[in-house]
Amino acid sequence: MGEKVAIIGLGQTDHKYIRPDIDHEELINQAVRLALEDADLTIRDIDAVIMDNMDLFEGHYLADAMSVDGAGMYMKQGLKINTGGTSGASAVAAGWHHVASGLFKKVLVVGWQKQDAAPSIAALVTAREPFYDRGMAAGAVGIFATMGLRYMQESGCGEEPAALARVIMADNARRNPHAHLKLNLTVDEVLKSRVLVWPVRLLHMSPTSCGACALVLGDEASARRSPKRPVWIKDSVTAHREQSVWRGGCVEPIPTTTALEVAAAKLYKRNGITNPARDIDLWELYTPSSWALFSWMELYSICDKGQAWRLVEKEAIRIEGEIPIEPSGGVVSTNPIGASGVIRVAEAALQLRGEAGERQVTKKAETAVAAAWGACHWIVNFLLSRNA
Amino acid sequence: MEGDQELLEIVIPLDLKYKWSAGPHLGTFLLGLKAGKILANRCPSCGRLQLPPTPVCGRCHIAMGQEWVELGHRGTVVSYSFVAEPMYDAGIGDMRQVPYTIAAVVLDGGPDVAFFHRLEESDPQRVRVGMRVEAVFKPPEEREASMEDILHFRTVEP
Amino acid sequence: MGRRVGVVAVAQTRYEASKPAQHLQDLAFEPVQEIVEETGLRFTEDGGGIDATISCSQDIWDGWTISSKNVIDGAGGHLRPEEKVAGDGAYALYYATVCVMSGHYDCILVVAHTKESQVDGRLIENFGLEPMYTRMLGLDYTCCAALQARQYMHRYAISEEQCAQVVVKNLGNAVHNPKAQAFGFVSVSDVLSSPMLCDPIRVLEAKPPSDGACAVIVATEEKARRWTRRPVWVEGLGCCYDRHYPGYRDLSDPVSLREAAKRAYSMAGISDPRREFDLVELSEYYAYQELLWCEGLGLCERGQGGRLLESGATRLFGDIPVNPSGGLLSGVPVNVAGLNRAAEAVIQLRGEAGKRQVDGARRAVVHGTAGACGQMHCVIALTVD
Repeated sequence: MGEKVAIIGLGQTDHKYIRPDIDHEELINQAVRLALEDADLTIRDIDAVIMDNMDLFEGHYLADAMSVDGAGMYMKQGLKINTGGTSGASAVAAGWHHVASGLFKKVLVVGWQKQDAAPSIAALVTAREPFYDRGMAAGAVGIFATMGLRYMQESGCGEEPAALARVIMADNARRNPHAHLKLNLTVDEVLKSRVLVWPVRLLHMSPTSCGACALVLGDEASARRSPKRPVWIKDSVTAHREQSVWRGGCVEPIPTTTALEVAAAKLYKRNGITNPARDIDLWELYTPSSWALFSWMELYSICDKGQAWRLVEKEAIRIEGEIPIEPSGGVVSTNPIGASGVIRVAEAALQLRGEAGERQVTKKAETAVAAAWGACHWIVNFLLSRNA
Repeated sequence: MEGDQELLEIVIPLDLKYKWSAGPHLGTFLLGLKAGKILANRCPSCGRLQLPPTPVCGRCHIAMGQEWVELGHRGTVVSYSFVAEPMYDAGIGDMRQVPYTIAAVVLDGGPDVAFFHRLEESDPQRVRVGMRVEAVFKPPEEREASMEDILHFRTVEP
Repeated sequence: MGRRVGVVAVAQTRYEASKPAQHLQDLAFEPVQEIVEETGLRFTEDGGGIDATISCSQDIWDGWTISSKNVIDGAGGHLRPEEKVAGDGAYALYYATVCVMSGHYDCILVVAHTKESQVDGRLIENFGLEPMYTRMLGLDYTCCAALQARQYMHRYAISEEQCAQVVVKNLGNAVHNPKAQAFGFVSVSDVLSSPMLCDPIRVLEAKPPSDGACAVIVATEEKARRWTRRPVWVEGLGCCYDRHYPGYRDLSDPVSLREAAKRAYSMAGISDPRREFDLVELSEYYAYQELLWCEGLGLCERGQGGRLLESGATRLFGDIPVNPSGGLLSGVPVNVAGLNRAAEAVIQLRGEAGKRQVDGARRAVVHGTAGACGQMHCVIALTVD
């Protein structure tokens, strides 16, 4: 019990809008093989496989049952986690619990989504209560529109910083061979893109992507034998949010104030982090819309309330900056829902290993926060470190 | 796989019909709409009003009890969206007609949560946060104990 | 085995064919409310109560993306950890045990819910089959099970009467279970004259659709001893996946069940399950499955499931009672099933099973399964001091 847990292997597919050339098992298998290769292991070395996928979005029931061959789950232990946008991170947390228990030495975590298969927007609408607000749905876009509107009114931020945030993510994504959208954008182009629900424009929103990402988690002994530098999962905090209030929509200044803030505070307190901007070297946050970034930065106490947009204006969040955020290009560039949470952890781990190639952050990176956010305003945070 | 192999697909519609139960709390609320009322229930511990009414207070973790409060039909807009991008309507199995306006309204006497409904105003010049609106109900004989018993919200002239 | 984990309490709703008076939120809250009242445990941050929640439900059954939304408020999810297992309830219990053993949480509430009455489950099951190769054949899990039943019965000369006797036994046991949906004294001929669903499976030989919910609290040994006078220890756990496409599998040989059982028994130090367990609560979605799963659980040799039943050993007062609760044939919802099996075993081990009590019960094996023809299985061994 209480075993230390490290990421000893990782792999992800190149994420795309559609993949008519392969089926879901082949997609999963690509990521799994890459992760095993990276860890210098075979599937025989794996004790359990934890999968996550939003099966309703795929048009499947029990998508794990349907992926046994591709994921290497045949005759293995394991289970399926499915929590929404946080799914991938919840699966990594499940892997963390499994290795820490001492019962499983090496666990494969695989998250995937092949969203070309089924209309995930239709499935997403079913997150709403059928009697009360399924008929009023304005989709995920509406959440960010509310957030953006509020933020602009309260902080004096204009439209430009959000556009700049999007440009920075695009610049990062172009350095990431796996990213889905590798756009070459200017602030002007973002400001001219079609309004979905003001102030949210088309370019502010994440795409739907097909992709898979796998991690191999191991105990200390496995980590010692790993050919790559292990990245340690020091801690993880999950916080959800009551649903009955959200169902009607919130008038709290930023709907996610509560869960995000509480989970971040708990993570910091448990790990002696008193100045997040200084103590954490990089952040793979989960920002599905450029308009969420400012709120997220403030809720993670990266800066004071109302100041995040200024930090973005100063481009402090760039790969070369003092507070690199989503050097991978983030969810706004790549969003295979079931994989996105795993990708955040994988990207942060790559950075801490110093293997992120062109998207490697300039500053010395010892610790990172990786997170996944779910549309019901909940959050799963990880604290990762190069040091055990 | 050969580079030029034909890419095969299969399309299978998923047509599942669900028959959900409203339960006693949401049921009371919906029957309230039929009677032209907007009802919230109150947590016996923290005193918070819940809209929509629910069986349990998520913060106190206790059952909500039977205290019901009737809210005003008027309220203040705290947010709104002019929806230009069509959304899928799960009720009819097709895409909605756009544009339409959704408003988030805090009802008079109500809890600090927004009530989402359609706003009968699509001119951006005539909509702002803070404006006063009022629920317009369908005539009693057309109501069916559903959110659609409220036709929309309309602007209340100051 | 490392940190010992104990079941502190269990609660279940009555299982019914339909619960139209309850919203999914009401349903999920009911056993939570009961278990919280019974134990006095609250949702706390200071280690003095429940640290986290693990929910178990499926989006597609609820018709609700993120189906745990209906569980969160009642089950202490606000600003707290809640994770969802989207599979059979036994997996949720296995996962909760692993979480406590990890040291990350000391006490976990597990809650599973499903309302099968609100949707045509056969369509959902059809979507549980891979789309390009199998789904368009119009199979649901009953058809798949029928194929398995036919292969099993043919290979080992299992008779229709033996399958029917499972129904007779289980519905009879259910008479003594106040939570049971279906119960009564039926005869073999009643079963064999019930309408055919998918040959050879008849209506009375299939689990009826059901609505219900179940909650279980697990904790570390120290806390379990503090919070209940009779903790039930999780001694062993194991699960295993078989391949998906039924054609790849020898359906008469449940290899993944044997592997799951082997892992659970090895952890629990069990070498002779037939003698060392006092009772079995397994997941028989169809009558023939009880016989087949008994083989997979090592209660008898391969092919001997029918003989085991006929020997009377698995009857309520036999020497290895199987499903003294009435089993799934008495009506338990999918997803909840494995957790309900665990709850029933806990009730037995605590000596609280009333007229269906197995005398001197000290060790039980619990089983859950998911996927067509039992593609994956989870086995948990429980014991009391």
